[in-house]
Amino acid sequence: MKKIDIACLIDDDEIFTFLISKQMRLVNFREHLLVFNAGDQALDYLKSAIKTGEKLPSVILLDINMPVLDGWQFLDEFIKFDLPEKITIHIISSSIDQADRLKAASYQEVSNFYIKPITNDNLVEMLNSAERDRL
Amino acid sequence: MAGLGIWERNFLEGTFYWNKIIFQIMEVDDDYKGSIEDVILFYREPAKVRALIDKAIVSGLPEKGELEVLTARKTQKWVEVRVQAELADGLCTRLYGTLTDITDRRLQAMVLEEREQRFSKAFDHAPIGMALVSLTGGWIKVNTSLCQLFGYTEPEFLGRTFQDFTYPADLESDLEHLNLLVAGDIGSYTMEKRYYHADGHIIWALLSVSLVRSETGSPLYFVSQIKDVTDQKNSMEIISRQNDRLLNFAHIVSHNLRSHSGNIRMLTSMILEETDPAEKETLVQMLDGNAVSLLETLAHLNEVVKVQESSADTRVRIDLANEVERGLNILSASIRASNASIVKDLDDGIAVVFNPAYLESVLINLIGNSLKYQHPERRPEITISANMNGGVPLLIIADNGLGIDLTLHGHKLFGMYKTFHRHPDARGMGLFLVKNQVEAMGGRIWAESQPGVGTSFFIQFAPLMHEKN
Repeated sequence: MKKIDIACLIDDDEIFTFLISKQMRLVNFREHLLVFNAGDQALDYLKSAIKTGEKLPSVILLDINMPVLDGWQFLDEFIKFDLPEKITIHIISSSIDQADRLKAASYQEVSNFYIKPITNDNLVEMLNSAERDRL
Repeated sequence: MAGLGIWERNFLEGTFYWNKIIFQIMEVDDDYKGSIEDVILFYREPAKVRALIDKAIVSGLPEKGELEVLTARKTQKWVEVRVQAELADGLCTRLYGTLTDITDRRLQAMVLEEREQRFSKAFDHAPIGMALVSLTGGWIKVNTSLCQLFGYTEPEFLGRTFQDFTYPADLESDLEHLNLLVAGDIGSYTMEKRYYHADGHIIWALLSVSLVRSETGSPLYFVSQIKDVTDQKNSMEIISRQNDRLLNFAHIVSHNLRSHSGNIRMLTSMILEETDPAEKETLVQMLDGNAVSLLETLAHLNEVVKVQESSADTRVRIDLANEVERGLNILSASIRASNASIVKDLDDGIAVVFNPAYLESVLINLIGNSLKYQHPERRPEITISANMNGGVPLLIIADNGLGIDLTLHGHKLFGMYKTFHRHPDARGMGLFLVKNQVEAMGGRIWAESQPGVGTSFFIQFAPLMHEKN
């Protein structure tokens, strides 16, 4: 997992973001984790990072249900970005609604759909697939 | 049997003549010879024959009449009798004329007349609206049901066309169908369309139209059947709305209940694996917090279910201005704290039929939102106005607050747990409940908004006439 420098988590659920950070430590993910509680904050960050040539996250874990700008609205903006390198996106949601899964599948940019709770194995898989995408 | 019967009676010479046709019509033997009085008795109403003869004598002109006869063999027939009299010195010397068997023609006419009467009865007393409509759309004939359905009297119909009654968006499709009908491409058509009632409200109708043509095939007029399906349409809308709510509900259960239970599951597994007692304590605290918010979500869901269960019995007639006053009193502390100016522009005496607790919730939520999402750079100004809009009470609550980007968030505006501002008190419950409460009472709610300018909420209440029923 050395190739991943920065991972990004976009989720308004503070308990969940706390737990994922803790889980990442448990699976020995020692690099940088950026946490955003809303889609628009993450978009602002990515926009300025692209502009300044800053190192971008290689993986984004994206929640669907969020206030102000939800996960879908984030994706609709994200796909307009001109990225210097691929960013792997995983959706992480509590939703077991098939419609959400289908909608996620309609975005080419979305690699996978994980239903919360996220297990340690899920997390390792997400980070590994991001690494595979980069090869 | 066809043929012209010829008869003559000469009083001077005392002669009597019938041609063969008359013998056949009257079904008598060839040697029959009757006096004029005998002959008159063949007629069902002898007085009529006498009157006809008298008329001919007086006028001196050919006279004719249609009369019923009973022949020698007791066959009932209809005949056309022509009579002309010859006079000398004021005395009738000769009577002559013709006799035609018109039984077939009479029967046909009677069948036609009966058919016409039957159609007329079916038309007038049909439980659905029926009309004969001219090729250009003018009402030619309308029945009682249609008058009742549209709220016009028959004379009021006759100066108008169906186009005048049709809801504009539905006119083109109707006209296209009529053209196909006239062109002979279709034999009839049925469509759902909207009409205006005399008092302005919209009627949903199922319209069936066919075309009556002349014997030569040229189009004469349309026969339209118009069935009121407004109740059905409304029921469908209620069902579809309930369906939406049910889906929304399932969505909430899927997202929000599962997010709590997901967190709980993650926490418990971490607690079980944690060895550091201090860290374990932190996790247990978080577990407790999660349990509390899970209960809160359940309470919210319960509130939603309560709104769905509310029935019409909970509705009473409420004075809108009074209720707005009450709502403002309840919010008076927040209004004072935010130094908001409240402008009231409510027409007098507007009553709505609503559940009182819901109306309070609707007013407090909307006015409360205007206070909560005030613009940081100006004094909040909230305008509450109400008027009767085509027999329907309309309430508008407008503010000069933060506003919402409706192109971005419009579809989520009234969704549960949808929030649009990063406000600490934004829970995403208020507008969701307001919408549910308004719709449960048969009303409609929508919003107009511009970010940085302000937001207006419009509530259209159920028309008051429902109360009369």
